[in-house]
Amino acid sequence: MGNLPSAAKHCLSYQQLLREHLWSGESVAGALDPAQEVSQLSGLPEYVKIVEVGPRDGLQNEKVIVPTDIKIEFINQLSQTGLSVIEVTSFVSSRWVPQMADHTEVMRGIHQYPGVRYPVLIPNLQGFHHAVAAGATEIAVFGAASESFIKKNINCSIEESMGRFEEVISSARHMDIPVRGYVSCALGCPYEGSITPQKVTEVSKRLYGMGCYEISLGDTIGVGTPGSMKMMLESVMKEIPPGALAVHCHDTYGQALANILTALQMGVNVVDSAVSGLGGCPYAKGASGNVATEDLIYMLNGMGLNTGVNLYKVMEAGDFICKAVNKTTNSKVAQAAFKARLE
Amino acid sequence: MGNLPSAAKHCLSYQQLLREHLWSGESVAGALDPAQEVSQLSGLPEYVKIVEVGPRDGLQNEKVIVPTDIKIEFINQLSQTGLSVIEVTSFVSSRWVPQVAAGATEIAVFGAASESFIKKNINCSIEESMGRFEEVISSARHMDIPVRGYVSCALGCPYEGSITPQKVTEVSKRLYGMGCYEISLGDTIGVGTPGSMKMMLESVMKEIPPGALAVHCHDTYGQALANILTALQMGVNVVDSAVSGLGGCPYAKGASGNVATEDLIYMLNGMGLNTGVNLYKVMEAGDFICKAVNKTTNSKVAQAAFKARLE
Repeated sequence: MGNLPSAAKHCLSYQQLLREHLWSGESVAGALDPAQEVSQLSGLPEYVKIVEVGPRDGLQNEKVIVPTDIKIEFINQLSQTGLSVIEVTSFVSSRWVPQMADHTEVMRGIHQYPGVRYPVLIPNLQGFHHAVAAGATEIAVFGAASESFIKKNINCSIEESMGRFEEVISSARHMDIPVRGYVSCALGCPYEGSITPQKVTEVSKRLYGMGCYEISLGDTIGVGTPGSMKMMLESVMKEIPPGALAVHCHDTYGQALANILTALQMGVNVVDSAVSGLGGCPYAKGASGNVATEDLIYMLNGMGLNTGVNLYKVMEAGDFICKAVNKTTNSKVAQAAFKARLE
Repeated sequence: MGNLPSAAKHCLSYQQLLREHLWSGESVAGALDPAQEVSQLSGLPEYVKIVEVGPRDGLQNEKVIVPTDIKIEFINQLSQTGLSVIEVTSFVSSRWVPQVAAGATEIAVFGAASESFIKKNINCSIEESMGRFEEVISSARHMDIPVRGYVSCALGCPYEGSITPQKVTEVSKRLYGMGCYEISLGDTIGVGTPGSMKMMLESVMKEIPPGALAVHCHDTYGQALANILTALQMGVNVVDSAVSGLGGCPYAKGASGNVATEDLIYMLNGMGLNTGVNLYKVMEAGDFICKAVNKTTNSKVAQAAFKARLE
């Protein structure tokens, strides 16, 4: 806007501010004082729990197979950022997801920091037993609100998948292992297109009824908008309390943060994200996938919402894993901050 | 999430849906029926005016100098998308207004809520800039040429850091008082968030009616659509954007700048808000200009849609 100033080298004082603010976790420029924010942004939760899915959902969708020791180092770095939940791996067959073939080694190899939880994905009872043997203390099951999607993914119907989940969940509960339930295609399906809020509610309610402590509603292909997010949540919240819900938004159409904001305004206070926005979209080659944890934290900080997470440390972990998968970050905050530092 | 399906080639039916929906301007999956949306999303405007700044703000920040005939073709393509405002002009001095009047029907002046920014940009203070704007605006008004006022650094300054909402209000109020019909509040470096956007607008709206306000959000930190959503929820119904998200950020080399018009339209469509703009035609214009400046698009909608079509 207006005339261009000569290069960014005059901006040193601002970069200094930026570095200071990013390290401390506050956003620059008009950041809300936490004491103010409750009255300013009524209806928003005070604390937002971020569920970091980079090591699983992120890496799973990356072409480069990451060596086990790198994965372990990545997770160990994430454990020191303040994140309280880090999804480690998936106990699926390596035929389906080669990236997760080292699930047992990773689970055994990570340092489990106090105060941090390390859930793993489980497709069936066999996977569950392997996970427990490897030291898992929390698991997640993968449902979907679309028959076509479930059929293509695990070759059964939604009804049949519920039978499998029932087995896993009751075994887990018997061992006091908490179970999270994912519902994919909550705002649209790559095969069917529109998904009704009622279908999402039906599937979510069943998983919740079986004993999942939290239901993560996933916009698997990122087609959702604040309009569809609101409609879907209004339906689901008739059956499940907001405190038991999470949103897992993909940024394939650039809508993720707006959709997350909408969910927060409706009382949801758990948000999934992936460091560096790792993981493309398998349904639109070259398009982006997960929303970047850095960009999410930046928004939450700017709204005065507590996350307990240090943005700068997350960016360091992001830098580490991007070099390991030989990719540039998908996080705009990381792009802007690192570029500013180089000036 | 879950297991990966084997490639995207099974998704043909979905891609078909996507193409159909994008052409018609509706979003896939749970798009709101326009009739429903007013009751569903209370407090939102029914119609949102998009001000396309790609040919000016976008190209200005691109390294490759675009030949004049390409610029003209680009703007001509945009004119056929349904967009009602396409910014092609730049800052003019009062001496130029009579000459501009021959072809121009509208002009804009550039203020800022930061002394440092104004100093570095046009080498004067905010007070002095106001004197210059006064000249331009009264000349323009004398010739019945509407004037839009921009207020840069509304949510932060690359030199000063924080900018108080009060300062933004003060500058905006003066421009509005001089006769600008609309004040576009710019998050010049994209540092704003829904928190700072809300605080700033609450302050400005004490002095200027929402109908005379626009937001110009940069996406340097990925916050643009969330900030725009916040502004819409507060009654603002004019939004600036640039096709393909053209134009990087001069303050953070390599970082992105303008929010992409395609991504904005996608969100507004999904919320059932009318824009009058055909998303697919905008994407075609975006594809045209990206080839011309030899860049890949910054629009995620364009990236996803074009990739899906190739499968």
